[in-house]
Amino acid sequence: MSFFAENLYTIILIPFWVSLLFAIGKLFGLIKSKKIVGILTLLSTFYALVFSVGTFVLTIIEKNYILEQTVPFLQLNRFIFDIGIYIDGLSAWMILLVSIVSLLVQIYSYFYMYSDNSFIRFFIFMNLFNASMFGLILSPNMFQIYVFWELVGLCSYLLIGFWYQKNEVSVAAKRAFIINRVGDFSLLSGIILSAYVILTNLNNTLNVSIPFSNISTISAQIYGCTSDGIFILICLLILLGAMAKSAQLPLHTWLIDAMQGPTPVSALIHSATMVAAGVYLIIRLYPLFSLNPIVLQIISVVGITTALVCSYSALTQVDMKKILAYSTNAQLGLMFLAVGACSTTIAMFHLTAHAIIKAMLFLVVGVVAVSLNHNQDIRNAGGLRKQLPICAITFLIGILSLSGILFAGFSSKELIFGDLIDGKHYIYLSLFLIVSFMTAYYLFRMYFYIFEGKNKFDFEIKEPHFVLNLSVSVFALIVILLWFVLPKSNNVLFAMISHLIAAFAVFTAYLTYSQKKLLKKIPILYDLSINAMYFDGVYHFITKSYKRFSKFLYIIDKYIFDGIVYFCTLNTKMISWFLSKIQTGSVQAYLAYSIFILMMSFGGIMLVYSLIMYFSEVQ
Amino acid sequence: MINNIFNISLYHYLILSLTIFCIGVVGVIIVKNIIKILICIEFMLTAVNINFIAFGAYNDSIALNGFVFAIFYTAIGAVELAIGLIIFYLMYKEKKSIDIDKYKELKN
Repeated sequence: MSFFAENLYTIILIPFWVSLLFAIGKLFGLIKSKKIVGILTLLSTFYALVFSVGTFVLTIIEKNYILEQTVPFLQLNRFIFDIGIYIDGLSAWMILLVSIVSLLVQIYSYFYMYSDNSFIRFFIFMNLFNASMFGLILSPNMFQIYVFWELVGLCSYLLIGFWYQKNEVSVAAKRAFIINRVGDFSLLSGIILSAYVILTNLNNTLNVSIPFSNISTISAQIYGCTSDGIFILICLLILLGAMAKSAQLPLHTWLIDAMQGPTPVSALIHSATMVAAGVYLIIRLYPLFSLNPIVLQIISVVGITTALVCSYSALTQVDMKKILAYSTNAQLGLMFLAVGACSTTIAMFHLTAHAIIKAMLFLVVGVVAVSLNHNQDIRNAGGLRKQLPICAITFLIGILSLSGILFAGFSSKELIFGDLIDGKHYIYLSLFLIVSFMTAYYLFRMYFYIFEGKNKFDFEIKEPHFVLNLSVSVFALIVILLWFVLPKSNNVLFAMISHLIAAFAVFTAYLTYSQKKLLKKIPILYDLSINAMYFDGVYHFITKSYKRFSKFLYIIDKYIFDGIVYFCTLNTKMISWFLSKIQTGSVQAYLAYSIFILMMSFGGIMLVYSLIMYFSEVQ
Repeated sequence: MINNIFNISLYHYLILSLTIFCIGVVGVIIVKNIIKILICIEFMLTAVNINFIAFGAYNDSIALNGFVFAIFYTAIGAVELAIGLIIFYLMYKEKKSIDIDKYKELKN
């Protein structure tokens, strides 16, 4: 078993090499067969799965198993930056999760993307993403995590803008990338600031790059040698980086834009793995954040606000993928809440449950959208339960789970609930219940619209490829299995409250679905929800005013600074024009000039000479 | 000699040569016919020659260097005239005209 852990670094390298191989092959036109691409990709991911299962089993057998393999990469005076891998229970768990989701999504996307022209490009990016994600999870210190942090952001950008020929897709990709850049910059500032604090105040050269192997002592050292303000600043800078990646409140709009990418990408990157990287980072640095209760308060407030706002925005959306994106956003907020108010283990459970469930829901939506000719409006679907029975069942399992009624989602929500009661966070608790009500409501509303009632379209639905159904079913199986794996607190109170709320939500959802005429749209609340609290509007306003400001500067630049330069060149032009007029081309004119100049100079010399002679005689 | 009879001094010769030289210069500048320009160049040569002979006669009665120079100078003038003529002939062949204003390729 230790063989797997000791060679775990290969799971970073192999997807990277596969990606490089495809890229070179595509560049020279060597790889044409889609089968080879698919088999190589699946083999590399399967290899990663085998190794991560091995490592995970090892961490289960040996409690507190920790392995750190590093080599020095950069050594500048007292600053040492190692690269390598760091395995403990958390990273082994996370790797297992990523490789399972990745393998299933890749199997799915092989068939989903088969007819696409840029099939090879898709798998280049997917492999690169796998390599970067594994690298991020296995990073032994903050500097390496930053490198891979950027790489997953890049892969996300490339995959959102996969169909870049459409204008709105490339715009969405750019927006996602820019918002991520804000977070990356903040994260880098936080890392540099903490490294600076360590380097100046403590004479500890080994800890400058903040290795995770002894993060608790380093955190204590940082806490000991900084004032409260600086400490909170460091934490907030790192936290903002995590918030941008995990789409928390002020920076959450990119996740909705990210839904322009292909559906497997949404399933893998924008719901299950990459967006969880922010939560992962916070769990990793929990010893640092937990030193100051204010930071934890901020984390939970950000989380619960995001959950509320995004759940509320999801209530009225009609695009299938948008509903799921807002839902992802809200669940990520709950993970933040779990980190801030409960414990990291509970957050990790919720992350796991959510990753599997949400990947499955996205894959189901992908199948549904394909059978409706890529129409993602839930109002145009309907009655699909008979045509796509497997999709309907798996979707029902997913939403039952995510609403906290049954299966994996029930366990993780139960844990959060129990811990909130134990910690006496009653405000968070009530908001959490509101969020779970809204979650159940919008998920069941979506289910009723898509799968119940009569068909609202008049074409024959073609049967989806059986592998698509198979991968979705495997996900559903994992969701059910997780229910037994995750710890249970057997909190009867929660079970009662949760089921009551969920039942009420389902009833409301059914009411809104079946009795459309009875319900009127409440003006302000409806507008707030459908426009996602106008966050996009605010950002548009900011960018628009920035654009106006730059236009103003452009005018100043054009007419004042350029004007001065233009004026100078005008002078030169005029002089040269005048001088060129002197060049008549006639030999006689030149002769006349030369004689004139000769006479003038001779006359001048004679005049000066005679003046000198005259004055010398006078004296 | 005749200089003594009419009481002609060196300055009279110098003024004569200066006058002829000025006529030559002005002619070269203003005349448009290339043959006339050649004639004006000969005017200037002659003026210089007169200077040589005048200085030779008045200031150097023993070695007579000025006279020797004048003979050489006449020869050089003849050669120059020949070269000038052939150049002008080629120019004429190019443009079929003896107007100097036609040759303004370097204008502006």
